[in-house]
Amino acid sequence: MPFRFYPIFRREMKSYLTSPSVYVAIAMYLFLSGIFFYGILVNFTEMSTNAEYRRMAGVETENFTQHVVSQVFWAINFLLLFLVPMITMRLLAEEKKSGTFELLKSLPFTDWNIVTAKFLAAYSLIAGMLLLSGYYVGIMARFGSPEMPVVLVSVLGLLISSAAYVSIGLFASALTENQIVAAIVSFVLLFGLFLVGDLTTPASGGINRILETLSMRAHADNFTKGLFRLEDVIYFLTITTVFLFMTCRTLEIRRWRV
Amino acid sequence: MKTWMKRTAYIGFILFLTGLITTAFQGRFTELSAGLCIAGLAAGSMLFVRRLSRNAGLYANVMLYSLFFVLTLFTIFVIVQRHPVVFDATKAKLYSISPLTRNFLGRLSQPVHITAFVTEAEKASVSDLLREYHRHSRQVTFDVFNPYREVTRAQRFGPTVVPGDAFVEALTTQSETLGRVVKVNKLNEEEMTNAIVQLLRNETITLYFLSNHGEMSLERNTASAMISGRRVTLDELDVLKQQLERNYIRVQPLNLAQRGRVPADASAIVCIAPQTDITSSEREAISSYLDDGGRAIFMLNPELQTVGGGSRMPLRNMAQMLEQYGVLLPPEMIVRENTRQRGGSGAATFNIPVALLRHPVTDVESGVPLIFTQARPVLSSRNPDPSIRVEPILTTAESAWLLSVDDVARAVLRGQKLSMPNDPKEQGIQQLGVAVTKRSAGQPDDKATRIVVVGSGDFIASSVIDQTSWMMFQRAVNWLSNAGDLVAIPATKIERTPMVLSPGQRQFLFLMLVIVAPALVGFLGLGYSLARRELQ
Repeated sequence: MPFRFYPIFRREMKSYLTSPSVYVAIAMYLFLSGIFFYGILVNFTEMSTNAEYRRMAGVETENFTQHVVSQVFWAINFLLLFLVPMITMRLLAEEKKSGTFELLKSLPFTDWNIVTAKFLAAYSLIAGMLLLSGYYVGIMARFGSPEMPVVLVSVLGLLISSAAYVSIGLFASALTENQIVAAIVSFVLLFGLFLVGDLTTPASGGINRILETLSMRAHADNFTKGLFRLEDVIYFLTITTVFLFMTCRTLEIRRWRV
Repeated sequence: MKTWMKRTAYIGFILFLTGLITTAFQGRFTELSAGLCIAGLAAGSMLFVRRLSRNAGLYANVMLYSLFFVLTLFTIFVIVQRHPVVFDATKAKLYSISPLTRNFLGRLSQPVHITAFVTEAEKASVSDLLREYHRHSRQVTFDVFNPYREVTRAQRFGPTVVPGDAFVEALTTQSETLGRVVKVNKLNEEEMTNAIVQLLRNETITLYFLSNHGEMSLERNTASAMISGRRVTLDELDVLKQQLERNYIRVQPLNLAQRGRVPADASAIVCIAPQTDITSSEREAISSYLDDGGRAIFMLNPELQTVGGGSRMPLRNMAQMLEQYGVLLPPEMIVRENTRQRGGSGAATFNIPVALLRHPVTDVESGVPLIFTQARPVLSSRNPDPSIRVEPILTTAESAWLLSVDDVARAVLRGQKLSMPNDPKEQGIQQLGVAVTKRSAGQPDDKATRIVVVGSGDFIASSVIDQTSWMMFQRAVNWLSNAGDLVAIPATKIERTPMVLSPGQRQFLFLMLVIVAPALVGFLGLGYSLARRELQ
């Protein structure tokens, strides 16, 4: 049955929607992204009206899409790196700690069912949260002149990259029973993959290219610039699949230890 | 698991985190931060040691299975990377290279290597641009360095390499340098492509611009005026000159009265909007140069003293000289009906929209229409010498009239409104430019005389030059100098879309973005979850 995971998904969603901490997290996200957005808008207004400011900043043309749209989506992407571990840390760690995971395993669900349900629930929450900030696009269109294709590519990029972030968070949650440890591991993994492109050294060109290819930042940056590359989509889908696969294997290994 | 193992693992994670934070502060991985991260990972792996010792066979099995799975995905990723599908959503196509460069790269048979020196901040954008070149031609390879971090590499190209410099080298098929290097003036597509063209081309193009007949100056004039809200200098060619030099074309003034003959290194002579005629001796010098396989561009305004400023004398010598090459310059001016003017037809305008006919000179890919602010007809002789081929390259885009310059001058001097003639015998599509080839029997095509004559010169002036006029001029230079590979890349124009927020709007946005929306979602959500809990 293709949707055997649905009962777990429904239970997870219910648990999210009745949890006050989730709303606090969403409000926190909207607050922080709102501050970023407001700061970027004010900065661009200054850039538009002050030639000296443009000269100092080395900006030749004040283009709304380049200086507002791209930066806002980059900031949201960066915020997700902090937010996703907070959302995903409890997914499996809490189940294991409270003992409900063994109960779940006794039900007729495979590891894939559990992982898929948990992943989809967390991803839906993140996607819903991103949609809540959709009114930013309305504000951009009302006060500035955004290039809508760039906005669409950026939104698509956020949705694709956040799937990868959630799968990493889920994997971290599968490794431990402690939610804090899960959050830290997930944060470390996300930042490690985000910054790995900066590990480049002067001497080794080949290694540099591998590191740059592995870097999540380089791939996410392309979306925020308005550049849709199949390579970036495949990169994030690969990361998502690999980490979901590894989460399944981690659950499988846990079974041997029980 | 033993307690010390757990502690070591936790310390490992702290070390790893410290390494990452240090990296974030320093902007890049240093030996210290990389060491901290590696040590942290090593210590953190203690978490798994005990688990691995049991069920080793099962773990090995899972490892192999996982490795196979990951490698499969990695292979798919590499295949997609090799066959990229890219969509540049930006309006100005900021992250794509133009079709002209793509075509050029597709024909590139010589391996070239580009070494760009940039600051850390520019690294990503320059790498993106060069990656596009590599994507379209495997003959192009590149490296991007910070000259301050990699001094030895920078010194290979000279003692004063700074960020913003780039060098294009020709390579053998075994990737060994051939010793030919061209410096790129600016790290953009236009400069980069033309540097490659320059590298592959062995000779330098030199254009000599005729002077001393009231032609537009090659240098910046001090006289200026406000046009469309910006200050521009009038009747000069400094923008054209800069563009040509950026494309590695030498530009020199030529006073034929002083020099007596066209210099031997001239790839072509250029005469733009002369206001007085050439002398007989100059005519002889030009004819002698052209008959010897010379090349020339003539862009000639109507001989009307009262339109467009300046005093213009009839160009009799010029007209007679061009007649030898099958080109006729009647003393007329092209006008058309101003259909936009209210009050019906009858009013005339000098602004002439131009149609580009099929020819290498007019092979221009630009969305900007070409408009002449004043134009004269340039006709083909009915019975030219059999060795001469005259091809029309420009016509009016719509029906227009020919009026004698004397009639126009009289009307303008008397302050009369120019009206369309009642008897429109000269009405129709008018020819505005020709390309002439004169080839003697047995003479190879690349040694033939070539001339481009256009019935207007103002459209190339600094105050009005645009993408289309620049590209057409460069195409003409390419045709004259047999440099068909030289490409005129339109500069990427980023649209100015400024935004100004009033204090009230700023306040509204602050309240909306930072306070109202987060508070609304937070309180509504909390209320909902608490209500649900109470219900349960």
